Amino acid sequence: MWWGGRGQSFNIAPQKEEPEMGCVQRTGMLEPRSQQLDGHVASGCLPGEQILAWAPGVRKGLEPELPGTLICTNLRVTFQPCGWQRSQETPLSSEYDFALVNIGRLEAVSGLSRVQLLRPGSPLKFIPEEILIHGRDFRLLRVAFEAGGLEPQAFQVTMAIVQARAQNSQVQQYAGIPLSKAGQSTGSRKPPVPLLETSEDWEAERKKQGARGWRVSTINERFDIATSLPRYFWVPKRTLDSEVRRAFGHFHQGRGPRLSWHHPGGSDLLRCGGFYTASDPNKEDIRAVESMLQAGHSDVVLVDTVDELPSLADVQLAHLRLRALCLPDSSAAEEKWLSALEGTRWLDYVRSCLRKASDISVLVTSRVRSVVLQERGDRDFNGLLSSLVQLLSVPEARTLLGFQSLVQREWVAAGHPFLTRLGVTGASEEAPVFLLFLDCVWQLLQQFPAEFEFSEFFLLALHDSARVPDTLTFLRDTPWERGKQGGQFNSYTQIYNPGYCQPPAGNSVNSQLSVWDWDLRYNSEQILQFHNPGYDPEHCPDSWLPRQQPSFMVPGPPSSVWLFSRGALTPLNQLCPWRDNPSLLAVSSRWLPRAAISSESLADQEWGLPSHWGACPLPPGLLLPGYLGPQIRLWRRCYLRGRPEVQKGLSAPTISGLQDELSHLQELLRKWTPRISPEDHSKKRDPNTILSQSPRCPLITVFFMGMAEGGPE
Amino acid sequence: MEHIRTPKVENVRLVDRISSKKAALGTLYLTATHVIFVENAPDTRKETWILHSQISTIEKQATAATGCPLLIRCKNFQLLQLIIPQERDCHDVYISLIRLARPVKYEELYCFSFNPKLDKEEREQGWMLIDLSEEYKRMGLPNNYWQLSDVNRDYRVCDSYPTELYVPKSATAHIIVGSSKFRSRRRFPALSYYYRDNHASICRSSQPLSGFSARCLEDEQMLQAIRKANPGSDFIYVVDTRPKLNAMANRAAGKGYENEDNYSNIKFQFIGIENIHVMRNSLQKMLEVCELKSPSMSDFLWGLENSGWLRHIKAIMDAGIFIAKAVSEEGVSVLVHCSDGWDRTAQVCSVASLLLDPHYRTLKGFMVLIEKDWISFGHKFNHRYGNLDGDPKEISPVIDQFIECVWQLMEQFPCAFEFNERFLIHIQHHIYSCQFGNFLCNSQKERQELKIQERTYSLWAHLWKNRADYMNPLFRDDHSQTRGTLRLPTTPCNFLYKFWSGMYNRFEKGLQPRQSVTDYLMAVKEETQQLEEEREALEERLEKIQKVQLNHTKVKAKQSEPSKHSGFSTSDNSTANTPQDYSGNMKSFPSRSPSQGDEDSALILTQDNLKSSDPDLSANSDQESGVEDLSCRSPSGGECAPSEDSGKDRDSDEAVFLTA
Repeated sequence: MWWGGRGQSFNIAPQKEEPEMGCVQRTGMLEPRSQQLDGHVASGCLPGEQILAWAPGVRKGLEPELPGTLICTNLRVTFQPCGWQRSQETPLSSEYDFALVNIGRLEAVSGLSRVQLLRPGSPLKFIPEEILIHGRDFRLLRVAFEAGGLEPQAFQVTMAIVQARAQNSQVQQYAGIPLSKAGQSTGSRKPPVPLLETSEDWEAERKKQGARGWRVSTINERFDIATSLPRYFWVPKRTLDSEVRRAFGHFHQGRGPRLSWHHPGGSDLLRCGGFYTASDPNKEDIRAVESMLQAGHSDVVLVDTVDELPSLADVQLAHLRLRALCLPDSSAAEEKWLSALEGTRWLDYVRSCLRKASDISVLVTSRVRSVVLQERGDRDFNGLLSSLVQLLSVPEARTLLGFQSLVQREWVAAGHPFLTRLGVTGASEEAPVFLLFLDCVWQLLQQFPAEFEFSEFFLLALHDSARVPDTLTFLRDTPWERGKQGGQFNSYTQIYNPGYCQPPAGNSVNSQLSVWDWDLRYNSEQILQFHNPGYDPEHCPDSWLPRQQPSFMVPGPPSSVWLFSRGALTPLNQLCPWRDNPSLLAVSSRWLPRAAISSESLADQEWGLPSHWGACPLPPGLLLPGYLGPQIRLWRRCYLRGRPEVQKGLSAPTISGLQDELSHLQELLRKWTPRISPEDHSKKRDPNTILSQSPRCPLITVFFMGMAEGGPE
Repeated sequence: MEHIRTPKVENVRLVDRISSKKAALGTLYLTATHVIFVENAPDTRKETWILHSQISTIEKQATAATGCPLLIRCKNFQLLQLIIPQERDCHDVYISLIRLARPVKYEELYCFSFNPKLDKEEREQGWMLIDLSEEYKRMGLPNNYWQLSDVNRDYRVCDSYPTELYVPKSATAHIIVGSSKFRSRRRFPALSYYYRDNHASICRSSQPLSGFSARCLEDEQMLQAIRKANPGSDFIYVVDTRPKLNAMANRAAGKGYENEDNYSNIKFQFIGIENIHVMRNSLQKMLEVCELKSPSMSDFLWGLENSGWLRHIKAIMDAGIFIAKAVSEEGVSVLVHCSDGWDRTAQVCSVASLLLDPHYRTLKGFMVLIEKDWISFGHKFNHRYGNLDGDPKEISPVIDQFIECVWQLMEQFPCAFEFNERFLIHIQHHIYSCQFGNFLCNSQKERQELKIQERTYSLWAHLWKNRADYMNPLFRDDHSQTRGTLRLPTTPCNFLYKFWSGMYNRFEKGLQPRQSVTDYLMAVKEETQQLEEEREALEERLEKIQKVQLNHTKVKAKQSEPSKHSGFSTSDNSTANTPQDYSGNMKSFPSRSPSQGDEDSALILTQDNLKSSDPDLSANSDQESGVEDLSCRSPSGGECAPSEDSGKDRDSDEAVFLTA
C-alpha cells in the first residue's frame, strides 16, 4: 500500500494499488453505489488530480446532516453530498472543498478517544468513527463514517489525508491547483477586475482618480528598481525617470514614494518604504527624494505607519490564539470567554488599525497636503492603512468593483507578500495582515451597513480564497514572480479541458485567472449574495461631489512638514534624515499640534478648531468609524464557523437554507409568470415594477438576518 | 412645585461624553415633571427632556474652574453631565432634584397628570385592549382539567395574586387554602401557562414553608392535582430557580424547598439564578463599563466579563429552556418557584412561555405575556423600579433582565418576533417613566384601590396605536424556524449572548451603528405595501375595464350566445382571485429596494391620476355590476346599456393610458 503501512497497528485487507496518474477507475470489490459515485468524482476531477481514497460518511454539524462521500485527492479533501453534481463551470466548491494547505488540524475520533494526526507515520490505533478537519480559514469539516463493513475505507481515507497533506506541504504548494475555465476562449480575455499589469490599466486608473499632477512611470518595467514593486506606478508629473531612479535607491528595498490615491479635494496619499539610512545621498538625490515626498504640496505629513500598530509577529500570534479560541473544544472556560477573547489581542489590533485609518483620512481630507505613509518594508501595514483610508473616504471604493480594484492595487500589485504572510511557504514571517484588513472592513460594514455595495458573504469569500491555492493572486509574494509565471505560461498557450489529464509539465496555475474570477469557486446564487441588499443607492459615487479645490503645485520647499505619530502632529525640521539643514524649511507656527489626548480622535481635534473646515463639520462621503471597545465586534460568522450552534440567527448560508428560499422563490415566480404575459399594454407597468424586484426579495431577508447581528462583546 | 428651588438656570453646559470639546451651552429648566435642557444654538434649540421618575442618581462633583458639575444618571441608562456656573444654583438644582426624583406618594407620579387628550371612552377602551380572560380562553381554558377558581375573590387568600386564577379541577377550595398556608406570602401554586398540545402546564408559586421537616397534606395534594391535570405524564418537575445554597439557607427561616420524599411523583430541580441583590450589583458593574469615557478593548471585555451580567442572563435563559423542553418535548408539567415567586419565577415562566408559544412573540401577545406573568401575578414594580421613595435594597433590574432575554432571543431568531428592538426599549423606558398606569404599585389589589384604570392611561393602547414603529420587518410567521417552540442548542454557550449596546448605550449615539438596517427594511416594506395596494387598485380597475369592454362587445354581438358570456365572466372571477392570493404571500417579506428618483415621480403621477379618476371609477363599477346583472338575467336589459357603456369606456381607457 502506498502509505507503506508504517506504524499502524491495524490490519486491513490490502486494497488494489492505486493507479498513479489520471482519474481513478475503480474496479471490483465495491458496491454499485460507490462505483456510481466514482463516476461523479471523475467528472469533477481537475487536471492532474488523483483520487487517493474515499469513504462514505455523514457530514455533521449541519442541519440537517448530509450523507455523502469523503474523498481525498492529491489536491484537496472534498465532501460530496449524495446526489450533488459538481458543476463544470465551478471546478472548485467553496462549500465542500478543503484545499490540503488549508487543513490546520486533523483529528480522528472513536468513542471517547480522540487523536490528533500529525505525520503520516503517527499510529492510528483505532478505526475512526468520525474525522474532524479544522481549516485554517476557521471552517470545520466533520464527517462521521458509516458503520457496517466499510471501516477499512474509513481508515484508509483518514490515513490518505494525513499522507497527502504531508506530501502536499513539500511539493505542490507553490504550483497551486491547475485550473481552467470551461468555455474560455484562447489567449486574451478581459479579467473581471483590472489586474494592473499593463500601463494602460494604470493610466486609466490615474484618470479615474483625476490625479492630474501625476504620471505613470515605466521605469520598473523590467523590475530593475525593485522586484517587489509593480511594473508601473505613479510619480509626480514633473519628476523625471532619472530622478525617480535616483530617489528610490535611498529607500528600503528600493520602494520609494509613489502615489496611492489622489483625493478629489486635492490631497495626495503616498506610500513608501523606510529611508535607507546607510546610504549617503548627495544633494541632488536629496532634492529628488524631497520633491517626490512633497509631491507639489506645501504641507507634507509623514505618517509613521507602524507606530501604535501591532508588529507582524503580534498579528501572527493574535491570529493563532484566535484560532485556538474558536475551536469547538477550546480550553477557555465558558465564563472566561470574553477575557480569553481579549487575551488574543486580535480585536485590539483591529481597533488600532481602524483608529489610525480614521486619523489619516482626516489628515487627507481636512487640508490639501501630501500625506506619506512610511513603513520600513512598505508591503504590509501601508497597504492596510492606505486601503482603509480609501474605503473611508471614497464611496467608489465601497462598490464591489471598486473594492476589488482597491485590493488588486494596494495589495496584489503593491507586492504584499501573500505567500509568506499566509504561511503557505512555512517561512517564519507568517502574519495574516490581509485577514486583519478584512476584519477591519467587516467592522466598517457593521457600522455603515448602507454604504457598501458588497456584503459580508463577499468578505468571507475573499477570506476563504486566501487559503485556496488556485490562482496566482495569493500564491506569489511579488508582482515579479507573478509575471514570471505568466510569461512562462503564455509561451504554452494551452487550454485545459476538464477530464483531460494534464501532463505534469504544464501542471501549474493558470495565470490568466485571478481570485476575482469568482465563478471558479462560487455558483451564481452564491455570487448573488456578494451584493449587499442594504446598499443605499443614494450613496452611489455620482451623488458625491467633492469640494472643488485647486491642487496648487508649489515649486519651492514645503512650508510645513509634520510627523504624525501617537495620534498627534509634531513639526519636523526636515523631510529626510540625512541632512541637518533646518533653515530650508519654513515651519509655520500658525497651526501647532495639540497635545495628544488619547480619548479624542483627530477628527475632534481638527474640526474642533474653527479656523479649519469652518461650518462644514464632515465632508460628504467621509466615514469616520467608531473604535471604542464596545464598537469593535467579533466576526462570528467567520471565526465561529466551526461551531454551528453559534451560527444560529446568522442565517449561515447552508445549502438547506438556500434551497428553502429558492423553492419559495420559484413558487412565487411560477405564480407570477402566467400573469406577466400581458396582451394588454395597460397591464404592463405595474407588474414590472414589482416583478423586477421580486427575485431579490427572499434573499433580502436572508441577508438581513445576518446583518442585524453583532458580536458578543 | 414647592420642591423646586430654582426653576431656571442659564449658561449651563451639557457635556458630550465622547468628546469633551463639544459641550452645548443652554438653559436648564426644572418643572414639576421634567428636567429640560434647551440648547442656545439658535438654529436647532435642541431640547433634552428627562422625567423625574427616570432619575436614578444625582451626583454633585467637586467644583472646577468652569463651574460645578452635576451628574444625572437615569434608569433608562441615559447619563447627563451638566456644568452649572454657580455653585449655589447647582446646589439648588441638586436639592430640588433629589426630592423630585423620589416621590413619596403615588399621586405625585407623572401618570396622574399626564393627559394624552383622550376622552373617557377611549381611555377605557385602551385598558380593555389586553384582556387576560381572553388569553386563558386562547390557551383552551377552562377545560376538563383546569377551572377558574374564585377562591381568591376579594384577595381573601393571597393579596399579591389576582382574583382570577386557574387551578386544577381536582383542587378544592380546602386544598388551595391549605396549600396557601404552607407557602410563603400565601402564594399557592396556580397556572401560568397551559400547553394545549399535550396538556402539560407551567404553574407558579412561592417557596414552601417546609423548614427542616414540616409537611402539609393539602400542599402535597395540590401538587398531586397539578400532576393529575396532565394525564400524559406520571410526574411533575418542581423547579426551584434559586441556587441550592440560598434555598438551604431559607430552611433555617422555616422556609425552603420541597422534599422529594414527601411529595409523591415529583422531580426536584435547582436552577441557580442569583437573587436581586447580586443582579443589582452586576448591572451596576456593567454600567460602570458603559460609562467609561473611551473604553479600550480590554476595559470593555474584562469589565463585561467581571460584571457577570451575561452569565446571569444565560442562567435565566437556561431555566426557561429547561422548562420549555420539559413541557413541549417530555410533556411534563412544571411547578416553578423561587423565594416569593414574583421575581425569578416571573422571569423564568415568561421566558418559557415565549419559547413555547408563537403567540407571545407577536406584538399583542407580548403585551399579554407581561400583563399575565408580571403585572397580574404581583411583580413588585414599585419596589423593584423605585417608583416611590423606598428601600434602595429592594431595587433590582428584574424585568430588565427579562426584556434582555427577549432581545437575545430576537438576535438568534431574527424572523420569529413580530416586534423589533425599539418595542422592547420603549417598554423598558415606560416601566420606569410612570407615564402610564400599567406598571404602578406592587399588586393588582393596590392598583384597584388606587383606581388606576380610572385615573391613568394604558401603555398598551399607546404602543398599539403606534404599532407601525414597532414591527419587525423580518418577521415571518410561516417560516419553519419560527413556528411552534423555539429550539435553542442543547449546550448553550456563553458567546451566544451578547452585550446589548442598543439598550445600555442607547443614548450614546456615537456608539451606535450609523445606519439602521431595521429602519431601512421597514421603509422598504412600507413602500412595498403601498405599491401592492396601488397594484391591486390598478388591477381592479383593469378588470372593470375589461368587463366593460366585454359587455360592450357582447352587446354588439347580440344576445344569441348567452353561454359564452357566462363563461367569460367566470374566467374573470378566477383571475381576480389571484392577486389577493399572491399579495398575501408577498406581505411576509420586503420585496423592493427603496425608490429611486424616477420611480418615485412615477408613483406620484399614478397616485394623482388615481385620485382624479377615482370618483369616476366608483360610478363606473356600480353601473357595470348593474349592467352585468341585467345582461345575464334578461336579454332585454342589455339593450339600454350600450350607449352608457361606450361613453364610460372611453373615459376609463384614457385614465389607464395616463397611468401607463
